[in-house]
Amino acid sequence: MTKGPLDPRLQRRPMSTAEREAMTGAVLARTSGSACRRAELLMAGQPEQPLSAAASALLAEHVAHCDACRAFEAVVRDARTALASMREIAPGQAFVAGVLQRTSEKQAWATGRGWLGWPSAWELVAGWQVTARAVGQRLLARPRLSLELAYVATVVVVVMVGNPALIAEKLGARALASHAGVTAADASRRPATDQERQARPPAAATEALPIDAVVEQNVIARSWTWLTDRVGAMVDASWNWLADVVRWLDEKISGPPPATEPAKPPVRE
Amino acid sequence: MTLELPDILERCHAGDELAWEALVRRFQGRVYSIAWSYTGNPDDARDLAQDIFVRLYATRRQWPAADGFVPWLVTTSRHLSVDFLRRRKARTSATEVALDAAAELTAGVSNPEEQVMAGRRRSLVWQALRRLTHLSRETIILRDIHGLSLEEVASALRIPIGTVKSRTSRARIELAQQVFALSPTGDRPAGRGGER
Repeated sequence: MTKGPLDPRLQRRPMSTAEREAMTGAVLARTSGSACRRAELLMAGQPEQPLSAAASALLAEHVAHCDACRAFEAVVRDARTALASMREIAPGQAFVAGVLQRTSEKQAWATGRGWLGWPSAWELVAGWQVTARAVGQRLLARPRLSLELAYVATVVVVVMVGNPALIAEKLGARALASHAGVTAADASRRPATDQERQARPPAAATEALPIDAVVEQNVIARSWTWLTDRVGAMVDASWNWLADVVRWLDEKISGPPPATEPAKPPVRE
Repeated sequence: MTLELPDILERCHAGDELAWEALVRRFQGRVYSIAWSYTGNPDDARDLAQDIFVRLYATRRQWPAADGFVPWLVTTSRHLSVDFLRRRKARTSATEVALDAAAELTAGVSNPEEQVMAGRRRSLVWQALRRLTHLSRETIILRDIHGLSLEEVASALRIPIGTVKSRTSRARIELAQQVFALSPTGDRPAGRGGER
């Protein structure tokens, strides 16, 4: 078979660079997608994740043909330089003097010694001032200072004054006793002693009962009791619910609890 | 002649005020930079940096040896900065100031033109850094600005080393994307083979 001239339809000019790039892009778009994400990860992972020779060569080839990754590489490189230059920033002339002044105050307190090695009264006062100022500043800087103060104040009030419910009950009982002429024993529902009975004023001598004041005190006391009962019931209910959940979980983990009675054998007729 | 760090630390331990002054001078830029990175405001950063030095002075008996001093200083400064931010969060937040507005960087660039270019680049990167998530910013600050090792960053952030590696890569990508977004020249060119 002899070689003839090539069919002119098969004669093609070589592809230009732009055409090659376009074709590669088109093939990647229809197959694996862009490799830029992988290239970015490799570039950003330096120097913590060193590349093998093959990976390095592939990356270099990709970067040589990809404008976006070339731009990314330049930005990463510039950012590295810029970040490294931020390692030290001069705080100004007065900074060192300020630090030394503050630390010398501390030094005066820590090692302050007057005549014959004893701290003078002035040094003690100055030292306490420094310490108190520092403690005060730290306290004021606490983010939840107001909440903490409110909590402490509540605790102090409860400790000093007592339970508000009991106070309301006592107030109600006193109001009854003072206005209706009943004794403390009546108010607290215990039988009165002979001495108390003798000291009781005659019924006619007592003033008319101002019913509004008594009703008000009773309403407060009953409201407080109702509230505490409700809270107690809710706590009990939640506690029972929690116990049920724990029991259920326990059964799920370790199987059902053993039967209290052994299974009875089948009865033979 | 400048004294080496081990000698300075030893003299500081012994209560030498001159050594303490030398230490403050040597590390003021570094501590101030950390404080500014976290506060984003030069005035707050100055106060915070002073507080950090006062705390350092109070605990000078517990300083580590010279070879581990700088990472320890960076980590301690970071902890105190985070404490400061936590306290400030409960109150008013200060206005953030760009780095180039008041900063005087100690890394000198001789050529004035280069200096201007470097300043612009730094300002852009700084703005991009402020727009990162908290975690990415911390990783970049500790690893790329202050040059802590992977182990030191992991110890400071209390995360595994593998996580530090992956987070660092992601943070750098995030930073580059922010730089592109902030860049006056426009967006990044399109990539090959489909979507970016």
